[in-house]
Amino acid sequence: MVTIDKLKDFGADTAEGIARCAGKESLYLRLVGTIPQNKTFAALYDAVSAGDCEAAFQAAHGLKGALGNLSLKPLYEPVLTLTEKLRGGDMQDTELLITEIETKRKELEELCL
Amino acid sequence: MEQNKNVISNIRKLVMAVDDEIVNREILEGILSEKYDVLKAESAEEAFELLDKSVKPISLILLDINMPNMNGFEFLEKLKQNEEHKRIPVIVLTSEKSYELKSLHMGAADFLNKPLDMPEIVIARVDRSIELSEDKQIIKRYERDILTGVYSSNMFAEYCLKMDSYSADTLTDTVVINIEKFHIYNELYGRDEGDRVLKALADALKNIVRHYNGIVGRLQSDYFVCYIEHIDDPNALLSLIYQRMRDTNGINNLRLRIGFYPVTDKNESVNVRIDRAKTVCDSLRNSNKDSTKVYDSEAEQFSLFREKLAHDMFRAIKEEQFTVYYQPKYNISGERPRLVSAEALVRWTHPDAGFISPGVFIPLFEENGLIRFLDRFVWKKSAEQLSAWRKEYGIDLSVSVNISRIDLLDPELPEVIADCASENGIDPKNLLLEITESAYNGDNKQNLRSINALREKGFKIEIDDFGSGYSSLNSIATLPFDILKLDMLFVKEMYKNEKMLKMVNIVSDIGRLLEVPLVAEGVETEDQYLMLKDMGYEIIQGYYFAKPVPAEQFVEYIRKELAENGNN
Repeated sequence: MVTIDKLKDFGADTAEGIARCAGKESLYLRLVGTIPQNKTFAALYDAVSAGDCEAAFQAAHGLKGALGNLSLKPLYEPVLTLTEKLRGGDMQDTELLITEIETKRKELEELCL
Repeated sequence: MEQNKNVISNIRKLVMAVDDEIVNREILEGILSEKYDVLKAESAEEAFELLDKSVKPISLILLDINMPNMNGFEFLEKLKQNEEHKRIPVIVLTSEKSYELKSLHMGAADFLNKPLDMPEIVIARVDRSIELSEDKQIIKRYERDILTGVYSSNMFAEYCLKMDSYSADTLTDTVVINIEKFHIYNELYGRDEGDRVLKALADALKNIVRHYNGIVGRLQSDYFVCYIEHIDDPNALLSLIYQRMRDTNGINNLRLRIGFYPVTDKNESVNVRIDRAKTVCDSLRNSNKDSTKVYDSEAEQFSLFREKLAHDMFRAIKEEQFTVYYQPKYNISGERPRLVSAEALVRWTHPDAGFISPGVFIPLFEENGLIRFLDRFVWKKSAEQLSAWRKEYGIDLSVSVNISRIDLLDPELPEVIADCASENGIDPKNLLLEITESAYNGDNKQNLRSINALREKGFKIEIDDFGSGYSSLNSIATLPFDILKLDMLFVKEMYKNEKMLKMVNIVSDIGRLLEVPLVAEGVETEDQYLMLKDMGYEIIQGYYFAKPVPAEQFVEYIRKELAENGNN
């Protein structure tokens, strides 16, 4: 079960995230809980593997929004970097970023169990 | 947060959040549900569905740009083309700088960045966009007529003033356009078709006034008003309108009427200008030939004057502002002229307007039917006066009074006149009834009944203005009457015009043929007098003898007659 403390340890800015959720802690936690299963991760990985820059950019961009709103900084940062890279059409050396993103996703997934 | 005292703000409004990402939708709902009911849509397509299905109107849409399939821009474009929903304010959600400007250009009310600002800011911006949008719609509703899109009458007046301030020296016209018998059109073809016609007319006018640097407004129902640069030929405008309606909308079974009021003084209130143009337009109502008319100040003034007279008439009778004058008539068949009768003529001295010519008020009262009251007044007064003279001077005098066309149609006429005579002890044969030839229409059965009833009671019928009416020869031969009075014009013209002279002779033959005495009026000179006497005219009336005078002065003639000729 995910908690505020766990998320704090994870590196999320829970204060900001909760504030954005109009102070509703339960809403914030529920929404955070949806992140690990979010289908956009898979879409991103597939697009990158397939070399589809446009699709990868759309996926990264979409993820970035959700992650930013929840102030999940450890995940938000690499996704942001990847988004900017893909915006420029640069698909080279994305493996590192992808790995980092997937690692953090798994970590969050653990917290939510 | 400050409690908003506005009642309308206390009703929960509905907003819609459109974003393909669930987290974003839910956060927006979390933020806004404090104050608003929130609909969530996963896609642009679903958003349209919800728009159409929603019973409660949606006050604002929060729109993500990056969505698969239809993206936010495509949604926004489609929304703005939708008549029903295009006025809903949209706040775009985006983290792309380039999208911010594009959204605004496409008609978005505002944008919000991603990640979202703090809730207070989001709510404040949503509040503000809704408020601005609602105010704008109120103004628009106030400004423009909903059906046709032209200016409402409020705004029209304001824009006229604006135009005047820009072009003080330009000649301008205020023009009112109306559709003839539009209510019938609506009934025949239905309201929808009627609306279509109104829109078509409005469109035609909108288009046309552009060429004249003008504006169009709607006054009410089927009345439109334009303010344009002056047009010399009113019918040109009419043709243009008909042509446009025919060419653009295929409508060519309407008749329009147009009133023009050229603006001479720009200080004059716009409402006065519109009123006058409308009055002129309405005056075309029963005209069979004209469809356009230009305001004529003189005519308008005269029209207002006539209305006032009609209004003042009853008081005038009650207060005896009307007086009866008498003009003597002399029998010239003997050696010396003898005073035998007087024609009663009505005069009006209005308290404000002073002396008003019978030429003005008589036709007016004949037109509006009030003549009946005036005539009764004159009959009563004349009968009273005649009775008084006869008693006081013992003279065998008659008085002739006018019977109008409308009086003839009244079945009670014979009774009324008979009562008048009997109440004053007058023998019917002394109360002569003058009816103009044109009023005495022998074809009308009621006329005939009235005339016969009157003659049966002993009254004598004198045909007045003979020769000026429309009698046919056979009706002259068959119509019952007792005295023939020649129209004044003949007497006036007979010296200048040989044909007229011959006519006068012919009329005297007619009189002899029908065995009725002949009267001539308007006799001014001795020559006329002698000539008429020669031709056999028995009774003469005119300035040659005397002009019409009030009763007090008339007694002079009586006295003179008695002195010269004694009692008869």
